[in-house]
Amino acid sequence: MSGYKYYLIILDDCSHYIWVFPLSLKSDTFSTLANFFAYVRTQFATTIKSVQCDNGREFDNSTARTFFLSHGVTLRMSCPYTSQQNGKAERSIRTINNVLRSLLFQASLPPAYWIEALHTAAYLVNRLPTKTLASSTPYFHLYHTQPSYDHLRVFGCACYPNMSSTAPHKLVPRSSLCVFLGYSSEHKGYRCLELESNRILTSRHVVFDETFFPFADMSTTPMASSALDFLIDDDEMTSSILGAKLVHTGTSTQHVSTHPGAQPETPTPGDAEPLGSSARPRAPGSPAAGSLAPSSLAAASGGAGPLGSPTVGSAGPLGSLAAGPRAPGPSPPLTEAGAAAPVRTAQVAASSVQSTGRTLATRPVHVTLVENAHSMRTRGKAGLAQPVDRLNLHAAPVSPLPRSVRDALTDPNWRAAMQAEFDALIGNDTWSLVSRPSGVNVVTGKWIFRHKLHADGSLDRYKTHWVFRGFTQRPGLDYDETFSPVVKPATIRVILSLALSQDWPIHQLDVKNAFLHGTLEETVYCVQPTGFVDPSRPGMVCRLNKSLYGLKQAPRAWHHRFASHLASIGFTETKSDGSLFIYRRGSDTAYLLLYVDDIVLTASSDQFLRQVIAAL
Amino acid sequence: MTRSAQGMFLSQRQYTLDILERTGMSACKPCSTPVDLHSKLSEDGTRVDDATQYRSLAGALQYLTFTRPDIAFVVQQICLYMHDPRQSHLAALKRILCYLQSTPTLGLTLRHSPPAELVVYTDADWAGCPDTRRSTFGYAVFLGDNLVSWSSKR
Repeated sequence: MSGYKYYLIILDDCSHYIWVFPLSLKSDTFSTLANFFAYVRTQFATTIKSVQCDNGREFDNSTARTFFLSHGVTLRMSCPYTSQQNGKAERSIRTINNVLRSLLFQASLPPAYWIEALHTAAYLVNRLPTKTLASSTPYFHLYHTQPSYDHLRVFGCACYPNMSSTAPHKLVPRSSLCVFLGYSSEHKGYRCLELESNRILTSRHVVFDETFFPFADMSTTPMASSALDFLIDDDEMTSSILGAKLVHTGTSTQHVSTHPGAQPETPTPGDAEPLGSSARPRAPGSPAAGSLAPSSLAAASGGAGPLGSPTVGSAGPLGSLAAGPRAPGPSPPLTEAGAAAPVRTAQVAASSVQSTGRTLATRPVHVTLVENAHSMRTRGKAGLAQPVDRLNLHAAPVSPLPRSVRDALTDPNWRAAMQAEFDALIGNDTWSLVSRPSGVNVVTGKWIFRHKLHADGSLDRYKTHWVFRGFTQRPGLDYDETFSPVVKPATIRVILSLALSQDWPIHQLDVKNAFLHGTLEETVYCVQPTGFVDPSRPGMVCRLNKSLYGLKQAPRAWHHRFASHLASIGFTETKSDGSLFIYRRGSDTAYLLLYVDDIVLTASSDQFLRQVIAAL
Repeated sequence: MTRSAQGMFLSQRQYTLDILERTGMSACKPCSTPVDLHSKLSEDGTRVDDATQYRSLAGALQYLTFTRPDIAFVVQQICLYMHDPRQSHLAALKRILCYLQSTPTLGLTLRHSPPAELVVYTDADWAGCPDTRRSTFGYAVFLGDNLVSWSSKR
């Protein structure tokens, strides 16, 4: 869940108390160990005399050796491939792993929650009576007080922490469905995973439903084997095991004095202990505990009442493994990621919302899980996403701009727009279908899609254009001249200035589909529009009668056509500017500026201006 | 283009604001003049990283000179170095943008006036260019009261 892959068990040889430390890297072992030395010194006012571990390099390296030497700690390692000499720690791992597995299975939790289960397992094992301590608990042996069992709850069960103090207002629910994920080491409270937000809350005020396991309802997916690699891979695990020996001051000194030197001497490799011996003879703690003051035994039996409850809390999960409530449901299978990667997916989040019975407007949100090794938890990693409803209000009815012609043809809105454009082209007699002549260049084309918007941003209409790829034209063959004159800015200003000084009306005209009116001097062949190929004549090409957008000579063709039309109604082109046309008949004068498809027209009277516009 | 009783006002205000927006200079410090009078642009200095952006901006400013005779000279100056822009040229270009920031609403006013005469004003500096020793000249053509054509050229 948090990038952890390993864990380190530290076992107190005397009290059998277990500490577990999740590690993301084996190289973190040493720093963890050093911190643990400081922890022992502060908490128990004692020093660690010796460390028993296996041959793992994480213990046997120069930094660690220097540390042990400078602290006067004897390092006792098992012989290579003789993990039996580290039997106590190895057996503890098995115990912890058994409990961990049971906790996960019972609650149907995904393996990603193994860290929580690990801490809870160590927490429970430390509070369970053990035979080696003569039915006393490691907790009692370490702290000399009886552990409390009243607060233990079934791991992974449903719980409802009181969240009213963080509620935005008083009308929201005071709690929501959470999954109990163990006991906080820093707080006096329970850790609860809120399913809706995937947060972990620590709370003291929690109501439990110990018969209901929320994850059992969500997933019936078998655990991903990759996520359990850390249990299978023995080599990995045993190397991160360490048995530590704590020598206590106070009452424990009695134990040390009862068996003076028993602990340090017994495990000398090859000496007192034959190779291949099991963990059994290496349990000097049991005679030690047995010979302990009877007061501790009495205390243990005195706590028999409370001892009943942990059987509910921990043995329960163990026992009900076979008959666990893992009812198969119709939930979608989880897509499990790698071992260290977060395993929760968007489907889980969605179904958890449903299971809480909230009336949230949940629409399916597609989430791609982010995977990286960084320990920081992000929403992307947890598969959380919230639909942004406020943006979706406007965009719903508008078909998006299609990425390809194929997309456009499947969309009814765009299809209709394309059909209209095609009909207009055919109606204009833009081209005639001919069979492809040999040796000519056929110009390709493409569809252009645009949203035409109103001034307020709402959709006006879907606009499509069939344009030619002018760059597929070949000079000399498909076109000769492409130059099209434009107005000089000075001419515009002179005309405007003249019109102002004479108080003439000025009119601005815009020619629609200007380029389509151009007549071509050259013969140009082009392909049939994509999606509108004549089914009876698929191999034929279009011979253009009219100019079209995208052709290199289109502006020139248009200018030529319009100029000749102007000449026919009496305008003359000026010599100084090819885009200025003057009309002069008696007292009537008109100036016309042609800027591609924009026209500025001014005339000596309103009436005459209207006449000219009509003539155009 | 707006018409009023006095005449007609041609302005490219929105286009000016668009240029400033596009260059991320819409919050820049306004500047009251378009050019530093005491230094001349020359061809040395380190090359600008994005020459294409420089050219695009110079072109945009050139289009702006349609209604802005006040920046005609300096735009012509920066356009001289379009082929190989240097940091000093970019600084001059930024200076123009700062000037535009302070004067986005300026434009060309065409007044009611009888087109009595055509008046041309012109000036040149003699071999003013530090690199080529060529002259820069400019002219402004008035038709009556209205400025209709202007240019600045090296």
